Amino acid sequence: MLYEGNTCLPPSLSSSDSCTLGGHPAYAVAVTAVYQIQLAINFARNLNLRLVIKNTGHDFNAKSTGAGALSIWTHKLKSINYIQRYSDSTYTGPAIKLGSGVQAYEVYAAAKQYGVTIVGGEGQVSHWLDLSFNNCRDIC
Amino acid sequence: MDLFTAETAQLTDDVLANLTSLQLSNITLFGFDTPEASKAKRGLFDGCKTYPGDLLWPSDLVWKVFNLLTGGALIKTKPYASPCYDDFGNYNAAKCAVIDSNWSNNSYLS
Repeated sequence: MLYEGNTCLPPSLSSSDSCTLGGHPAYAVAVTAVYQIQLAINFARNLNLRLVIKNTGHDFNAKSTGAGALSIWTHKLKSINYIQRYSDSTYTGPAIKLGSGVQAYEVYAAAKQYGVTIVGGEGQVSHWLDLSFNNCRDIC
Repeated sequence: MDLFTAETAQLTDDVLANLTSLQLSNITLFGFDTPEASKAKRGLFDGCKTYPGDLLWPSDLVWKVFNLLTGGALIKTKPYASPCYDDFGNYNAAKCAVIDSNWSNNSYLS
């Protein structure tokens, strides 16, 4: 429960009179570019800090948070690039390159704009288009 | 595949060398890993990470340098409901009332 922020609840919900970070990181870097990620990783490694990565924070096992950690927050990496003709050894056709902070509703809007279909995680189209992960061509 | 603009801004040894020539202190804290550095560090920390309050936890000044190098992207985290308390130096009764009445409001908190 620590990682749900229950160590600092508003007064009407809490009889406690203290407010602490609990399981949350001490610092976070709101990254918008790769060099900031590199700096954060180097800084954490060189200073022996706990390093966690958070995107939207939906990891059920709370790997996206961590007490006393430095957090790399990738939520603002929102770039979307449509590639009309992507080609690798087993596929040729349209593809979309996404920043790691792009959410399903954003990529749906982009796909609509380019007249293509994309699976965002899983959904009603998964029985014929599979999971989005299984449509992934490359992770860089 | 073309890189996003966000991907083209990269930290390199050259950039770090430039920072050193500007006499920015503590630049060794931001360098890339080397086999020698890893080896030297092994055993030093006994497998435990450095936590807030530990002797070796970075000073405020070091965090400030880190913030400058990241272009001001560093956030010192505070609990969302911290304006309701004194612990983080941001007590604000009016803000607290808003947070309190919206605590179960999904769109407010997102």
